[in-house]
Amino acid sequence: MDKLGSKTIIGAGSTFIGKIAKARVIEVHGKVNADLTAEKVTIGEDGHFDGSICAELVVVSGHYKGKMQAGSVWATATASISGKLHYKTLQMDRGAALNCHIVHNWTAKDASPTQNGNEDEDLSLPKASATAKNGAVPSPPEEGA
Amino acid sequence: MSAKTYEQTTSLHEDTTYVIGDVIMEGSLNGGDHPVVIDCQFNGDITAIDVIIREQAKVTGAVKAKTAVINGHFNGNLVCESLNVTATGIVEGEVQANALSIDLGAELIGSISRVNAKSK
Repeated sequence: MDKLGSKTIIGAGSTFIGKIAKARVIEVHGKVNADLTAEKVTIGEDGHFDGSICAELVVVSGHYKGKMQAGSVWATATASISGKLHYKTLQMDRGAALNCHIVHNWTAKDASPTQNGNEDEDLSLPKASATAKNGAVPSPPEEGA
Repeated sequence: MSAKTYEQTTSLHEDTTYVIGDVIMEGSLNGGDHPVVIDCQFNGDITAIDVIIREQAKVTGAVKAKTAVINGHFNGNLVCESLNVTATGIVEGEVQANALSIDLGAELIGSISRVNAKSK
């Protein structure tokens, strides 16, 4: 391709509302209210993300609110996370503000059903590959928080 | 503010919004005073000072911009001060522009009119 590769950037000062699917690498420096499936997500220091994220790696330096399912989560010193967080590995820098429900689980299958009752169903991992073929985006889970 | 060239707007910096790759986006995007570069499937509204729809892009919806460059496929309503449809560009729908340039090979299907009120 070109020098930009397949990196998607939501610039500072811009806003997006809707759905984002099949993103590879995405950086959020603006305000996003969306449901997102991606490989790598970066929320910049001034970035605000509201909505669900399903990704392999999420680096949060800004504000996040919603349900996140990620392989690796790195909350940097300026991070502020609220909502729900499902992760495999989590790194948190000194100063990061986590005000959320945290579950060390990647899939809802592994999650203990007694922990958060029937809300576990909401957190089931969207079949990204299946839905991507149809060009559809998994519908957002209902906001329980 | 003069219209930015393609090269200027495609150099990476944090203020510009790029949506590139196999991404599928649905919704409304507001780039504010910064440019927006689209090279993906996008359904919805785009508002920004400069909007560039690149070759691989398929955009359906409404675009409002000061300057717009269409290299890819656009379907919908387009309101801008100046519009450039390049040789690879395909525009279907309603176009409102005060300054219009269409390169040889471009496809324009629909209606063209001028912007009545002074709009962004």
